[in-house]
Amino acid sequence: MGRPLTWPALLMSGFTMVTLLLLPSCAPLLPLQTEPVFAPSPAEALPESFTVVTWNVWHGLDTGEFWVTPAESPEENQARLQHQVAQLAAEWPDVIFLQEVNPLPERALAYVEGLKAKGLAYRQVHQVDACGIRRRGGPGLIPGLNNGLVILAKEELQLQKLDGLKLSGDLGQCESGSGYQLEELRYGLLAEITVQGTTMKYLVVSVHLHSGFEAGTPFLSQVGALYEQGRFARYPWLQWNIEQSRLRRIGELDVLMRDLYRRSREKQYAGIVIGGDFNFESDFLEYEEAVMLRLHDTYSSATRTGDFSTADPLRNARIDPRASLATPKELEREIAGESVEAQEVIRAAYRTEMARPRRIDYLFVNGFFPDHCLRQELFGTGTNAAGFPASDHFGILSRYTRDRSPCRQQARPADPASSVAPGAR
Amino acid sequence: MRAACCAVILLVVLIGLAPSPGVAEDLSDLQELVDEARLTFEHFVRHPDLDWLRSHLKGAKGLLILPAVTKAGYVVGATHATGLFLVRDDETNRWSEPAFYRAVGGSVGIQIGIARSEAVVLVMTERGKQSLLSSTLIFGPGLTVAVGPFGRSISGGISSSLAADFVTYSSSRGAMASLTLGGTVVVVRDDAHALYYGKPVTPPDILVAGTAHNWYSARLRKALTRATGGQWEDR
Repeated sequence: MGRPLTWPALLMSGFTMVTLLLLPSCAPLLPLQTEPVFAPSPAEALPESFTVVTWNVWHGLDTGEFWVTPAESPEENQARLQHQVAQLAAEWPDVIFLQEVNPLPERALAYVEGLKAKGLAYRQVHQVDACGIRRRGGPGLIPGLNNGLVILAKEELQLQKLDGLKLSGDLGQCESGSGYQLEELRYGLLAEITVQGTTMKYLVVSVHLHSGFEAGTPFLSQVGALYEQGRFARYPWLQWNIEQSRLRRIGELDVLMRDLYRRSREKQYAGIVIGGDFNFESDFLEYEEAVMLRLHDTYSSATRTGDFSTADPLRNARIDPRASLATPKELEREIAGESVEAQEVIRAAYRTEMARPRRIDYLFVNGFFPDHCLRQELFGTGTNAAGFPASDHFGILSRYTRDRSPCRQQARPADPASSVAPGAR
Repeated sequence: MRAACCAVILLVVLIGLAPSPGVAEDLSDLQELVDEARLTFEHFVRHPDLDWLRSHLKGAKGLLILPAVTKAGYVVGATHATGLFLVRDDETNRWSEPAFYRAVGGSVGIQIGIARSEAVVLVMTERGKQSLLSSTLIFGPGLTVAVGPFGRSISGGISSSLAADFVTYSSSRGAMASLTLGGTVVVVRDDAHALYYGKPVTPPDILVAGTAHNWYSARLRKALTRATGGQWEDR
């Protein structure tokens, strides 16, 4: 940018320094508290029971790099909706977090209508996070694409949308009926509920974080060993690629939590509950980020049975088996220079990785019903006559009860995740 | 003269309009700067071609992280950045809480447009560290600055020839770029310290005495401590 420090630059530095000297007088008043502030309510003040579900309900699309096409017939799509509504109605949760609801707003309203038909009154709020290009009042450039996040809450909880907070992606903006999207966009749907019979408000959030080149510890260990043996020279670049996805999700978590903590400083909330598809596992850097941001993974404190793999190719027939055959272009690029034998070993490791059950959907809380007994189970595991569940993800159901005896009767299984960042809370 | 003044005014306006995560309006803005600094650090320290940075960070006295460096130019050029400075404890390899700084610089030459980049500056000497503990630092004679080596398998050897007070790494949209510090003025942001730590504190209080704390910096400090082989303890 040219030669350093000449008289115009000195003039500018002087000007800027004068401005900087004047700035402190404009500084806002000091905050009394920099820690996140919640006022969790005593168990006696809260309802006898409270149930929360998070579920990625699958958009029903085949997604290409630039285009999407329906992956099921309209009849299949409607049948899947009814199957989902039936499972939700059977549990009658107080709050439901949904992801990949498609298309919006029609599908969100369809859940409300479907539950109403079963005598259950809910309110909905929603935020589109994949819209393609869509003109207000007109059809979208990519037909059938307008999916995103939904929160449903029982009518009496007075659900109100606070914001559709953009978490990442610069090129685009998705609204309910219009928008444009030139790259992947990620949002958080922020709302508040008021607990019946009280004035206590909780922040409730539905999210679906970035999905990139996903690979967990087993795959990285295997290909890392090849690198050590001198059989995979570009492993550091592959690792770098995967880390970019992880850093993007960390950035998304940071944006979300800054906003939530700002809201908690400005208005008194009793706590936060965040449900969603986070696209990371409990041994990833992102999980540690969530814990250090004062979020508590309910899985680690709940009484539960069985494993909680929400994305499970071994149990969920709806997970496309073709996905485990194709290797992503990022991986092909990095292995192109290796021997044919090494390439095959790496591809096989990737296929094994894609077939591995993973826990990537979570209910994170801070100050949410802290003294109630919490039991948790996998949700949406029921299948139709052909053996298909209603989504390619299983959800999570959290059941809070003031009566703690169910938690005392059933010992909590050991939790590997609870050892991450001990004492951070 | 008139053209130069117009150019200066234009540049100040342009830089003022450029989005910056560090303009302190409330606590969230400072938290954003801390988060951005952490991501900037991770981008550099994990880059496959920055072996030198990874291996020499362990010997650095401190680290200045500038997540948003804005350069604007129309004959006269100006640079503006906000960032954080942290120092490393030689014994424990743990890193301090961050102190907040603002950097401004200028240049003259053939230039037009606005560019954004991110940068890290390794502070390699005690003299360099002490200079940042004062309220204002001007990069000029008496302080040496070098551009950090780029490439794999160069972690050793080059270190002896880089006897500089500061070693800079800069990146624009993922590609390595150069950062010119000559003539840059670095100013402490006392207002930011008061807001972030809830009390008026100086860089020596934060960086040396360790009398200011904010839970929000833990993730940044942990990332640095890990990268330099220190043991992080959650408190």
